[in-house]
Amino acid sequence: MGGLIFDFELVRETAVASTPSCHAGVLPYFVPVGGFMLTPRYDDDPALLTSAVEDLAQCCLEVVNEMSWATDDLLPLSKPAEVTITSTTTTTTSASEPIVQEALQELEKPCEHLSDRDRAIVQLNTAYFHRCAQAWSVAAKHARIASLEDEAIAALARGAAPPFAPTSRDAAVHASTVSLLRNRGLSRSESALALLGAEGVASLVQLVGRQSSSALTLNVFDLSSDQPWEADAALLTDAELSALVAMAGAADDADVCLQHGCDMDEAMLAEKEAAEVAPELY
Amino acid sequence: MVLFEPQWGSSVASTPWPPQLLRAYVTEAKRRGLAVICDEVMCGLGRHGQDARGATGCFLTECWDLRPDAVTFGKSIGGGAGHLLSGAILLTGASQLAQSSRTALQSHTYAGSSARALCNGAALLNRLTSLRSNVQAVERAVKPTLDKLRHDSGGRVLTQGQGALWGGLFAHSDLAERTAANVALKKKCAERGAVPASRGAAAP
Repeated sequence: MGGLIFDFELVRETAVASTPSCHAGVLPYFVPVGGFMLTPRYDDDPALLTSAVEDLAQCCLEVVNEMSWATDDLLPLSKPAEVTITSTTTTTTSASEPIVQEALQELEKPCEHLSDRDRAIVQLNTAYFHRCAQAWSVAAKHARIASLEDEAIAALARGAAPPFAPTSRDAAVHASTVSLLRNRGLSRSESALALLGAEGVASLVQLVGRQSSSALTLNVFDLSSDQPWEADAALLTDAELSALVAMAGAADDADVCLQHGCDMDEAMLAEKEAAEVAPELY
Repeated sequence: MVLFEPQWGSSVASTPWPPQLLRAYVTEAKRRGLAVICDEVMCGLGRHGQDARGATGCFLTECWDLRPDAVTFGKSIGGGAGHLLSGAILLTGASQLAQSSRTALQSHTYAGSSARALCNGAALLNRLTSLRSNVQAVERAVKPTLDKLRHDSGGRVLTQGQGALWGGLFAHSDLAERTAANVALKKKCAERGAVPASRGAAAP
């Protein structure tokens, strides 16, 4: 740690008041390694700051000109270093090794008792939760084949609740996945049971587990610095997402829910809770 | 346990780490079962100036998606907004203070009332959104001049930073040469009528 948060105006005013010939000037903190730091306050006057920093820069320039350092004597840091990340983890393997192949194959498997759209919602949630680039790419591909809307993908790509109608099957799948990942259980599974059935819920639980296993495997054994969800998140702005979520809530049709034997109050409460916690999930 | 500053302090004069590298370090540390603490005492609470990207924008770890186990913060509350908790900058008399061996020569960090710190913190969080644009204005005020210094000095002064945290390093490979340059810089700053460290700039 170190450095100093300057009360720039206070110092300037004090300096002017105490020594009339002393104008507002340079306020660096000189660092022991050889150099300076500037840590202006949030609301320092930019014009005043520019003038002060120009003074400081001129001082620095005069110093190095007087020191007459040869180029060969300089540290090899004239430009920011290119960053190459090499993992020291001994478990890193190539993509061709069996454990990686097995994980990739698992991501592609269909899921009994769940639709392709259900599977895509689970996969996107799980891939983002574990920040697994390969799992996300596979999940996004499945989502588009299953005609999952771009706005839903964009929401999941930033860890937000998608604009699903609160009592819809999509919302139940999403809320259940969030609950499994966040709370390691389904504390309020009535709406999921009503919409997915017992077999559907069982398949969903197993799918979250298998997808998590694959994502963790890929994170460990097939390192990737890619973040493919960023491009998908950019499909929608925060404001657009908020508007869509509000519209989805307003357009909710209670009759549809009741026809399916769903306790609407319970379902809406569960979804509301899930929507509130979802942004914190990740 | 691993502790790191996403944007370094005085040891490397405000140099930000590459986010990609930090993410790799955090991942590696967690794989080894190490807790990760991110020290944002200097750059936190919006002083980093980075886009919030849909989150609060309080911390660089948040903006860069680093996901540490804990984050530290402090200086912004201590001296960057609201009431100063305590502190003094000496225009004269620093040498006498030093000779008397007083502890006030701790020259980095403001300290003081924890109740005031809480008030400052609350006020700061309420203003954070508007302050972000101020921090970005600070960056626009500082960056061009420091970029020019780096260029005009032929790489002899390495400048870096972001938001409201900037710095420059003398680039000679010999510490003795850098120290000599530091002394000369202090002298020149003093001659220009700034608050000169050579005459004492202490903030207990």
